[in-house]
Amino acid sequence: MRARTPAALIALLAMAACGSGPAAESDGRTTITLGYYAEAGGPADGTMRKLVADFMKANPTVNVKIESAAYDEFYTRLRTQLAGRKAPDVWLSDGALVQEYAGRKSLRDLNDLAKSLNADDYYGIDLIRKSDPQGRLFGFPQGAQTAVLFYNRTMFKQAGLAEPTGEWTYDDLMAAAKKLTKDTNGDGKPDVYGFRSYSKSFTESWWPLVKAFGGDILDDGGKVAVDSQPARDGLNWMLKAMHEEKVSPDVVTTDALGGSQTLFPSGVVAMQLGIYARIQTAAQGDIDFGVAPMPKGPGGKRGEIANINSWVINSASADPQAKAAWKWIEFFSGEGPQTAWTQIGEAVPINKKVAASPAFLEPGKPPAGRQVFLDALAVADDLGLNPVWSEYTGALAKPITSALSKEVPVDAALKTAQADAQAAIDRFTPGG
Amino acid sequence: MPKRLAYLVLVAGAAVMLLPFLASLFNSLKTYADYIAVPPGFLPDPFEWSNWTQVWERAPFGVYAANSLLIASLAAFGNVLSSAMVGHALARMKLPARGALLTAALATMMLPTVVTIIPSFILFREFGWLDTFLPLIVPFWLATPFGIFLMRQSFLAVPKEFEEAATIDGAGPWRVFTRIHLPLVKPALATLTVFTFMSSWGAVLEPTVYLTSPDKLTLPIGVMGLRGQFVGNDQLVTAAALMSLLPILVLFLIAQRYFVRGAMAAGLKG
Repeated sequence: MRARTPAALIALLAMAACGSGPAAESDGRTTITLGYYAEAGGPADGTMRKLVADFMKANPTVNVKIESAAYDEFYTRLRTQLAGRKAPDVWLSDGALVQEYAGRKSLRDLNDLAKSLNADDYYGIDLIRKSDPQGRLFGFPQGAQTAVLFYNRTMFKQAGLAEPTGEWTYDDLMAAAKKLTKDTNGDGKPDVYGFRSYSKSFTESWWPLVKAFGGDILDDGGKVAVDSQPARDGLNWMLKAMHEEKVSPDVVTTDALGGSQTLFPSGVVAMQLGIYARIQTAAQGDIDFGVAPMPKGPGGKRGEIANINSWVINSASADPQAKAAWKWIEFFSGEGPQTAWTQIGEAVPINKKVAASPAFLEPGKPPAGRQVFLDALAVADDLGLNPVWSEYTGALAKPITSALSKEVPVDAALKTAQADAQAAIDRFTPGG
Repeated sequence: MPKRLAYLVLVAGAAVMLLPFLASLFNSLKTYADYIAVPPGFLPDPFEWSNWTQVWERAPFGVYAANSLLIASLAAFGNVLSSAMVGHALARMKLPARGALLTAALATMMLPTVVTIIPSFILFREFGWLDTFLPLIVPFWLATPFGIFLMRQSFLAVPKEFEEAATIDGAGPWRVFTRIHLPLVKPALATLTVFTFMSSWGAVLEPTVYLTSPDKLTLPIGVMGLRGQFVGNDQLVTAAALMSLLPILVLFLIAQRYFVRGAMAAGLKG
């Protein structure tokens, strides 16, 4: 018995050591690693795996090794992989992070490869190019996110209100929100709110509001420009909604109840600004909901912005791998795969033909009127992306959240936000 | 009467402790709409039994459990063996710079994993160990600072007379270590086994970074993998998290006697 112990240990260690080796070229096939984030076994994961299988069938000379994980774990791993020069050849990048990796020279410029496709057939290419000072194309659109106004149709009906239209202003929204806010348990405090204004997910909160009121986060020269009167007006509108009119849950309540992921689907708020992907949780919440254009600010602007999630190719990948990776991107952008991807309801398709087709516009489930996403996308501005996105948006969000929590005055918060966010950008030197 | 009162207090305390577990159990049986309802309900309405089967359909949790068990067992065995050897040497042998060696080992505890993860990743890449279990096991076979410290303290507490008597009877250092000292520090060995097993079982960062193939993932990574960026999967994640507790709960129930005795004895001898 005793003699067997070392043998058993060796066997166990051998089991532990078994693993796949590095991607190898065999039989003239090019092996690439493909990274993406999706919940395991969910519709996105299943569809992506099926598309990869279809791609390999259509391209027998390419072998694809998948590396997927949930969003947070995917990026934790990716950062280490990039530092250790072992990142996938092609991966799905959150649009907001494309410039972060490009600035660290981790991505290949796709301008030459992209000549094989007609840029006019796709949404988002111009926005990705715009985010690079030299007009390089560090990612190719995979799916687009843009915010519109989500509203609970049942709650509107119960309040006897007409549904929002494209002519709505933020004054109209406030007036409707007042009628939708209710104290259902009689404790003197509202427990159903008209509108969720604050969210940690700021592209569905203060960012478009600042723009709708005529302000901006960055100016055309890439300098932080948030310390402005229109930005003050936008934040003051939010403060009024949360603390004076009390038609919006305050910062603490919003965070405590789960923010934009849960407040709308649970029926705690009747309206919210939400990106396309919020359709998924709204549907899970089993509510009857619709979408409308974002309300207009005082100058008639709506403040549309878009985040273009993108396929990116590793700059460290060899040419054969990069070419095979591009083949995958071409394949994924085609009508068939885009239609399949559209059906999971995660993103606005980047293929304009598919976006204009019934597969996207009339999928047979709520919300109706999905054209508003395409209208918003057509005029949407980029997010002013840069290589220090996480640091600079952190520097913006912290004081602005403090102002919205009434911890500091709006004036002081915007001054701090401007100085700190600019400092974060200035600290980074991409190295040409 | 006081005994009854004591039991009553104990039962009430146990019920309070059990409440979060019950809440998790009920949450795992809710629909997403029910899960996010405000105000939250305690009991599911309706009971969504399919959440538990869905978890199994979505990911190979049996494989994840087997992987976790293999990794945690080997890590625990390796750490106990190597830390006991190093701890013994530092406690009982005359070595040059013994104190400095211990200090150096303990100093490495101050380095958080996030600081060492990239150099470690590069090292394991060079070894060809990425996407294998080796980076999660082998480091434990090289002794850990906590293990060294725990075992050194335990060996220091063993009276010298045992060692002297064995030496007079002709035992060498290895025999003294294996036949005299190790049996006397069983409680510390049990404690270190439990601690290492638990930390390896619950590790998140290292498996996330080193493992990429779906069939090599561990339970915590499998559980977290169910989280959707925009999809409400909290009820499934809760079901998976409860499921991942089961193997360790069973292990604890089987070995409860030894664990409790070991932890208590180690505490007493501290």
